[in-house]
Amino acid sequence: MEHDDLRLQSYVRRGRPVSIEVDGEPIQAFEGETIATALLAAGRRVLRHTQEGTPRGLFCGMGVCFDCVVEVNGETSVRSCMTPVRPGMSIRTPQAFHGKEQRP
Amino acid sequence: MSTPDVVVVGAGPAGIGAALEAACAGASVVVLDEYPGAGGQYYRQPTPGLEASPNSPLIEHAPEGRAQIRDAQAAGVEFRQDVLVWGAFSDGSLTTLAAGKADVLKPSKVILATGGYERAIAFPGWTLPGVITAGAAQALFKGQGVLPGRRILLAGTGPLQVAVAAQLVHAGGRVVGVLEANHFGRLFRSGPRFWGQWARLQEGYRYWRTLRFQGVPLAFGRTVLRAVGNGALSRVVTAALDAGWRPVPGTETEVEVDTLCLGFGLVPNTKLARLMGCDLIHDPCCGGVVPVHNDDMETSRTGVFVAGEAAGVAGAKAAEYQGRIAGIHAARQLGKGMSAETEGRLQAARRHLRKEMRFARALNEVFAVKPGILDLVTDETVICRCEEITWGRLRRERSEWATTLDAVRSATRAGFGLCQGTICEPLVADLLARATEQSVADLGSYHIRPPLKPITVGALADLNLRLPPPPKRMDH
Repeated sequence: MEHDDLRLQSYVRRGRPVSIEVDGEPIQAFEGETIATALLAAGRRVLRHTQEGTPRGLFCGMGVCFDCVVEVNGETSVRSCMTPVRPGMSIRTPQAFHGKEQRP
Repeated sequence: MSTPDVVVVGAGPAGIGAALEAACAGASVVVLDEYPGAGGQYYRQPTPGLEASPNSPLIEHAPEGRAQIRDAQAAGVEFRQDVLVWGAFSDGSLTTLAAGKADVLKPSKVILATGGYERAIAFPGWTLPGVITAGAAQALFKGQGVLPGRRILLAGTGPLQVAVAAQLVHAGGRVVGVLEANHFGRLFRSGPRFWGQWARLQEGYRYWRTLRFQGVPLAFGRTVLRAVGNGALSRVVTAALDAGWRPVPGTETEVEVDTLCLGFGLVPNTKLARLMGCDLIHDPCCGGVVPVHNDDMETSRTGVFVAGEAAGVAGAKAAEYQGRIAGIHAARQLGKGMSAETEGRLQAARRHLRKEMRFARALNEVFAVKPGILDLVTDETVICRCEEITWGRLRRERSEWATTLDAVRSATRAGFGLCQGTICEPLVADLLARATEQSVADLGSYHIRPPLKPITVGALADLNLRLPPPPKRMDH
């Protein structure tokens, strides 16, 4: 059985829909979801690029590895796996190349 | 903020058990936990807003955890969630961060129940998005009701891998295979060591049967050689392993996946114990460096206790009993919990713990990571994910005099990133021990300084208090 959406269709009832913005693009999430979950379900596995330009995503999923850090409402290095979505949240996925930050 | 008698750090099985017993004995207890909900990884509850039906594979241990949390609350335990403990100082004070504000607590007794995290195994491509830990898969799935990917491969060792695979399949996930690094014959021969663990063997059989019915192949003596993808994971190359887990040339096959879940066992999270100056011991059977503790679960520092995976990886049940023992002894040091009833509970916890530790020892020995797996690391393989330090660079830039882990860190910057060396420390230790023909114990460990996790200067500025220096660590 394959889903278009990674969100389970059976066994669960989701909370209220929550709209967030990721790199200027609107994304629909649900109450209680973490930023990492919302991005994963929206088909965005790459959460940031490192200084050397390599892509990174979720790794430990429990707030230990800091690989999933994103910028949330201007605050940098926020762990997306630990931070629940809030209505209107503005998220940027860091794109640093050769020490210079490029905003998409 | 009023100061409680006992502060428990971590609200997993060990922390809940400790808090419950200390409160039942009459102590005032506060549990500080970094997550939005109590339960830790094992008793993980579905996130607020998500309702899971009782028959769902999401639920697993959640109801048991909820009952224990309720019992603890009824006994007077206060759970404070979303609180990071980021520092410990020589006068016994702990510093916390909650909602962007720093605070100081100075409890008379501290119980460290900080849990464990997944052991990192490095190979080319392991930093690609889509390569996650089995724990991350469980957090997504049990906590959030979301599958980690569309085509999932699990690689690692131990029964947890089979459990995670079966849960994902049950929920409708597409699992293309489970790779167990150990050979079947070896596991089969160690079977008698699990004599008497009928409930657990039955649970394992149930998971195995789920995979069997869904046609999910379970391969023994095999693991991932490298992960490949442009931007994110698209396929992995797997290979057979010999008995010492060295990859066997000529056995490579490719499999298309978007998600790889790694599960090579846990490492104790001992950072706070180390910051508090507790003496350490290297015990490979417990998952690595652990604080020395006595039968009462007290560390080398009077009034500082440790319980659960942070005291050595032994599973959730052992964690609970260790927590109970620690809770009772912390209360007793305060002159509470001397009744015959408490004594009965203590003896029961000790009895259960002895049985659990026998099982844990067998499990840890049978599923111990074998050194051949380090052969997966090439010169180009990233070891420190935060600072992007490859093994080649680590080898070249490590000066000859840098013979301890801490000196190598200073020379190479491996372990100086945001995770503060949490992920790479055991990996660097194993690789360096092999390269320099030293024992891991002789290499020591990274020196831990506050803050344990990054915090803002603004939060520190709010902390209108002078803090004493962190306690001196006694290295032996």
